Amino acid sequence: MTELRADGVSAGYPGRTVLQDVDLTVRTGELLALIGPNGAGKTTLLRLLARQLRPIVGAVALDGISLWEQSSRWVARRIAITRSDRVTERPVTVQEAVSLGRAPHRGWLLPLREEDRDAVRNALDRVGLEKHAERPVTELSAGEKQRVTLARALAQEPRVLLVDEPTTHLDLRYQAEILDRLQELARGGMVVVAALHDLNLAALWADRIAIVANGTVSAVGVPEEILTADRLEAAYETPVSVSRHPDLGTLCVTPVPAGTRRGR
Amino acid sequence: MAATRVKVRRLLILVSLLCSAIITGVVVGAVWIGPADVFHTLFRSEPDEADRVARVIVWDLRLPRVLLAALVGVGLSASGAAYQGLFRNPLAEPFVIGSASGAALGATLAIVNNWSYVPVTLAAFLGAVGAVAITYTCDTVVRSESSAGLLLTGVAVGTLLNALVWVLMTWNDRELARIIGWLMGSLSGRGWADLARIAPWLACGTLGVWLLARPLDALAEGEEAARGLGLPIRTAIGLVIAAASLAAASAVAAAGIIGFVGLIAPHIARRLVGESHAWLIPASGLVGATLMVLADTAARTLTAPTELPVGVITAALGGPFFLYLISRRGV
Repeated sequence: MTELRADGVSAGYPGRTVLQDVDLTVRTGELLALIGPNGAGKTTLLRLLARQLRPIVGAVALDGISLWEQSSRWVARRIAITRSDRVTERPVTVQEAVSLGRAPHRGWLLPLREEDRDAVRNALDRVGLEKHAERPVTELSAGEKQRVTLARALAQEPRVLLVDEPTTHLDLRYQAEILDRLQELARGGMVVVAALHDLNLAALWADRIAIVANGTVSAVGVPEEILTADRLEAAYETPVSVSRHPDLGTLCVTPVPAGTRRGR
Repeated sequence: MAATRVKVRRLLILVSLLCSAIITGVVVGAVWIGPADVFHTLFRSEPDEADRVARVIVWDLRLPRVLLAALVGVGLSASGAAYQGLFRNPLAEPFVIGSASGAALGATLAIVNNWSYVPVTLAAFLGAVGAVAITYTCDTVVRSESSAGLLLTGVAVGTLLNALVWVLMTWNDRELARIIGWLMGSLSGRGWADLARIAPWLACGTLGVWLLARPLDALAEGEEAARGLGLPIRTAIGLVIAAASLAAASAVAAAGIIGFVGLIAPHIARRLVGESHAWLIPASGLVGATLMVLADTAARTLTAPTELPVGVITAALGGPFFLYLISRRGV
């Protein structure tokens, strides 16, 4: 059982507080989606949870252990973070790119051992890239690159996986594929937190959803509870329409065009 | 980039190219001494006068110089590869954070004060190391906290040191020829003693850079990614700079400021083995060594009996070659 917890956290960048008084707890086995308008602080929250950004007030703790009392290496062995806008563009092979994920376990100077290579192989297997291990990353499609990023995080063998916008630039098939994998990882006992832009994807795949808006986490709960027109309109400051999907039974969220708003 | 097996094969090809270049460098010169004669100077039991002359030319003059050229090439290229990775900038080269300006200032001071040859080497080395130390300290003081900031600090420090060099040159115009000769880079007259003085430092720096291959891989992915992998960023940057600067400083101390090799060799190597630094650094070293040996051979034979500064050769060949690489989208 793993629990990642932010307690009364405020954070931001010099001269600008982005998040204030955030309380959030994520536990083993769940896929938590972070939603919210652009610039509301989803990425900032993920960076906080990954010990990449030091809170001004409050603390982030993994199983009760405050992250800032531990080394970045200690954290990297337990928490992996991926940014979809930072996919590797260097001419290295898939294997080399993913092997970097072993550094927190093996150290930075020693050569990799058999168990490290196994972990890399497993990670490649899990994202379906095992046949592409020796291919240059630069030759891969956008979807495959996204999977390389995920594989590196998995090679860290983390207990917590934080993913920022895993579906940007991906077509429908890859969106579904990557979210299926994240869900599978959560079911396998990992804590998974994903910042998602697409509310419908969040409705379909997330176990719980947190709204990051107006400088804090304004609501956390199961999709049914969170995806209401009132909450979303307050967060996004635009009219939205929430309906139920006729086949899947999940909630669907669509923005409302200005020309059709009169009837509401 | 390519599969592991292919990379091993390419490294072996680079090794054999370097060996060929070294043999060429020993054989070619103002006097042609064929490979068979080189062999004879070593093993003939009763050497005649011609053998003895050949022996001096080969073993006392050419071989140490060729080996030193190779080492300088290794140091400059390993250092260049490390800085390109660290700064995520294809235009980074060994002198990017001020070591060339520092070395120039050290050497100029030594020449102006008319110290003998040894202190010029030593002064250049200390100048290079000192300049990097100043850059690094300034950067820590202004707390740029990122390698991009460090790069800019290096430019600032380098500019300042260059200004001092120009001042010294203006005040001491009688020594101009010697100063400029040193600034252009040359291996003229170097022997075993120079090789022995430089080799340990250069080896430490180069091996250090190679040992830091994985931190370099992480840094090349961007600092945020590196931090996410648990890399202690400041320490890693500090160690990379220390190792890369040691390699560059010893190369500069031995041969003066030789441009382009440290910039180009990593680009050639990257096309052969990709950018994983565990491969890139040895490959860059081999390419750089081969280029330097060939350039120095050209420097002492093209206009024999006078010599061209080897830095002129590397720049003259390097510029067009770099354009070719760019046109092939190799950069």
